[in-house]
Amino acid sequence: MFLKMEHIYKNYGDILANKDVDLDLKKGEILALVGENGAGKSTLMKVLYGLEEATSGKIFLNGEEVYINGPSSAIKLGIGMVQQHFMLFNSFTVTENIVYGREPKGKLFFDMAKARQDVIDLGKKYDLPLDPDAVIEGMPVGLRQRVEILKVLYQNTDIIIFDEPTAVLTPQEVTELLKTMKNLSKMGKSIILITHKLNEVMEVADRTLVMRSGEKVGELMIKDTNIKELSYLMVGRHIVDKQVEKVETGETVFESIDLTLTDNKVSVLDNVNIHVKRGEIVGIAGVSGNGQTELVETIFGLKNCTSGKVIVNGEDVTNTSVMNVRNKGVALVPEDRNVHGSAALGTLTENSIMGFYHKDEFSKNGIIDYKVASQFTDELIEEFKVVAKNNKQTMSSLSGGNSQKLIIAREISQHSSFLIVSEPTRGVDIGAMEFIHNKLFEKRANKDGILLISSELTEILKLSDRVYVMYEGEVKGEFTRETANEEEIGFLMLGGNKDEV
Amino acid sequence: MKFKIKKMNYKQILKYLKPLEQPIVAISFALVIGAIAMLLAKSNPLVVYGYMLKGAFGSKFYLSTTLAKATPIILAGLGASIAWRSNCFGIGGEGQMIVGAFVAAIIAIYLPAPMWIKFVSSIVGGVVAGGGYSLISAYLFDKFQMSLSISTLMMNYAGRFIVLYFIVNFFLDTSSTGGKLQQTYKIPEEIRFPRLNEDYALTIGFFIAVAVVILVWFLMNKTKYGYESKMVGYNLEFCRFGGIKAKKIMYLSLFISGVLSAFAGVSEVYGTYFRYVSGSLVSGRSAWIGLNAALISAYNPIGVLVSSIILAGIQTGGSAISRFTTVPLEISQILQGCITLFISAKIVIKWRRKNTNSKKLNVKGGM
Ligand SMILES: Nc1ncnc2c1ncn2[C@@H]1O[C@H](COP(=O)(O)OP(=O)(O)OP(=O)(O)O)[C@@H](O)[C@H]1O
Ligand SMILES: [Mg+2]
Repeated sequence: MFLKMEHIYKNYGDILANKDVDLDLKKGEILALVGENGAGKSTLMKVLYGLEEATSGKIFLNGEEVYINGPSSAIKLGIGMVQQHFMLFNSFTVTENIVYGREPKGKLFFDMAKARQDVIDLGKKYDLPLDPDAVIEGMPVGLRQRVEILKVLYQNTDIIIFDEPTAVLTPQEVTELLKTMKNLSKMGKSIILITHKLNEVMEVADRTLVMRSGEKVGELMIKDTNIKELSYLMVGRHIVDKQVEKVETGETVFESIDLTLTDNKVSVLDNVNIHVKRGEIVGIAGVSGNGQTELVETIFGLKNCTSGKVIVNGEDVTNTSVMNVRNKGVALVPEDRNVHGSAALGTLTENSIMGFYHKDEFSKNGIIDYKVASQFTDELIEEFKVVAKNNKQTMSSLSGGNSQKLIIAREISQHSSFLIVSEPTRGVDIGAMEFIHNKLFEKRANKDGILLISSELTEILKLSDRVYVMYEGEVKGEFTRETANEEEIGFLMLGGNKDEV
Repeated sequence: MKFKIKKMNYKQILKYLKPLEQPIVAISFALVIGAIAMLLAKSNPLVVYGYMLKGAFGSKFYLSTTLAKATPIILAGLGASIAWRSNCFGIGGEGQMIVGAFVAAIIAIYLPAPMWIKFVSSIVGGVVAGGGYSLISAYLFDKFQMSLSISTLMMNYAGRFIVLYFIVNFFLDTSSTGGKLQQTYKIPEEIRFPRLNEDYALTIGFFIAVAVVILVWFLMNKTKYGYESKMVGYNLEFCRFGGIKAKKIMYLSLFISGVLSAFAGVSEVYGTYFRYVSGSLVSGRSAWIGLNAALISAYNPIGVLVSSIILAGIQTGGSAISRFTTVPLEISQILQGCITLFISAKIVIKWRRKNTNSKKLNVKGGM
């Protein structure tokens, strides 16, 4: 056995994040680590990569016990990790980023030419071509990730850990990445992959380890299992697709009229005319980067549009302020939960009242009633099954999926008549995904309107009563639940025209 | 109704002491380094610290001197805390103190009005002037992206010399020393902060400062402004999405910060000098010591109160050492230097961590 982790325990205060976990890994093997949000997957990998110290337990490499007390010692032992948040210097080139920290020595300073050549060779060897002189700034996410992977390979590691690498990628980029992983394993690298997408597990992994509440609850060879069994093991029950009930639509809660945004003469939004009625979920399908983010920002008062109108509940809110738009009954689950959706250092309570703390419920005469706020937070935690110790812990101590659940809970709980949700299930487990979907359906049944932006076409198709397809800032087509189909939407998403179908 | 007597276990007690953790660590660190310095100079640190403790808190007289010295430090420390907490890294406490003290003194001396009106308008005028002075930096940042630390630093010098200009040309006290000292006339005796005891330096100013500590604690922890400014300090983008107007918070924080620092200057006029004496506020260094107090206590007002008193004690105790031992007065400066060092080390670490964070933040998505 190549790598062996034995009896790993890790606790944060009273929370046991890892409970007697064993893990082993063969050379050239791809092991998938799956489990619910907060199951302890990231923690286990942080222990392996030296980012966290295990409370107890042993790690063996090639039969010898090793002590890992930091990422640099992990790297020395041949263990690398592709970080969830890319740790790249934006203003530096690809080469500089890859060799950073282990630059080839030249006469006086480091040997740039050799570094550059190394990067080119490395790219060739692993079939990961990259322009060595490109600057990170402005690179698509998929390429940045490739830089990260090359950086890990440059460190000469034999074991590569990926923590939810596909969550931020477009479907094409995902395909590429999975191919890369298979390729790497063929060349003798061992890979540990954390993901919530079981189809990815089925596609690339050789073996899978299922975790629940800090414990290992199963270990299966991929060839002997299937998605159904895996998901059952993960959440402890069967996930069944519910029949979507029909809801009578009401008046229009949101409407955009000829919404146009030009940025530096580049047209970002081009005469966008869309609307959402009460009791309706409207999806925006599109490859990310085709104006969806800007659309949300102009609706929400974060960006001023060049021309056109945003109407909410019959009132013109064009180019006003976020506070005004919120007060008119709009809530938003932003795409990026770390940057836009939460304050890592804030407590759960502080995070739960953002956007609403000025309401009578929470504050009077400029004084915030933290007792009410704290109770409210507890209710959110309970209702949305957020795995948390108490509401005074910081947001950063929640697992990825659980912080997403709390953010969604916050925005749904205020009964706004119009909710915008961007990538609502990014990074949540399949149980939580079902739960969040049900919450959105519930909101729809309450006759509120929802605008859903998601790069997951399956999610759009499952939830939406109507779908708009966006391509390069334009609405390219509109479908109803009945007329929507994957092929046609996919075609429009890639720039096809409706009449060509 | 039944009263429940809360049993406090040691964990809870620790929780209440939490704000004091950092100041105590920083100060202990300084004391250890100081002890090493003394050993090198062949003095017994225990004896020296004994004198220091006595000289700072050992008698009613010393204690009252220390608390009087702590008063402007506390107020300036609160001022710095309010700004820094919401990511407004201004260092203009000194300039605001000067402007506040000057305006308050001039109103108290020249306003032709009954005493109580004189008193109220002098204090209000002084602190508002300090707040307004601080707003200039806010404006420069807002409109021209001028770094707050640079603009506030410049404003310290500007304030000092503009005020000097006015004193020399218009408000000079020519009676007592024939105008050789650059100072104003004295403010009326009736409105000065009363001393608790004629022989001691302590005035009600200290108790007002303690009241302000409680007020600022309330402002930070209970009010809407307190929530908003804290969140702005945590994550600006999150606030934008939540509808908080960060600009408004910046102006407000810098104004309140200026008001508090100016009040530190006003309290010196009312409790120590009874006039504006050019240079006195600069050489007293209260603004900078206050900033130190704010930094070691992580902007917690209670922490500011405690560490200000300790820092003031190091000063008064330091002069006692030089009176009783051969250890020079500079030992208190060494101690303060060490505390500053400790703080800077902490800031650098934080800054580096933040840099890696912002590196992360540049990329969308992730877990
Ligand atoms: N720094 C911390 N302080 C306190 N608790 C923590 C900390 N980090 C993680 N935890 C807790 O440990 C548990 C496991 O977290 P971990 O991040 O490993 O989950 P995960 O399996 O990666 O979940 P997800 O799929 O949501 O990313 C969670 O209950 C989490 O709240
Ligand atoms: Mg995780």
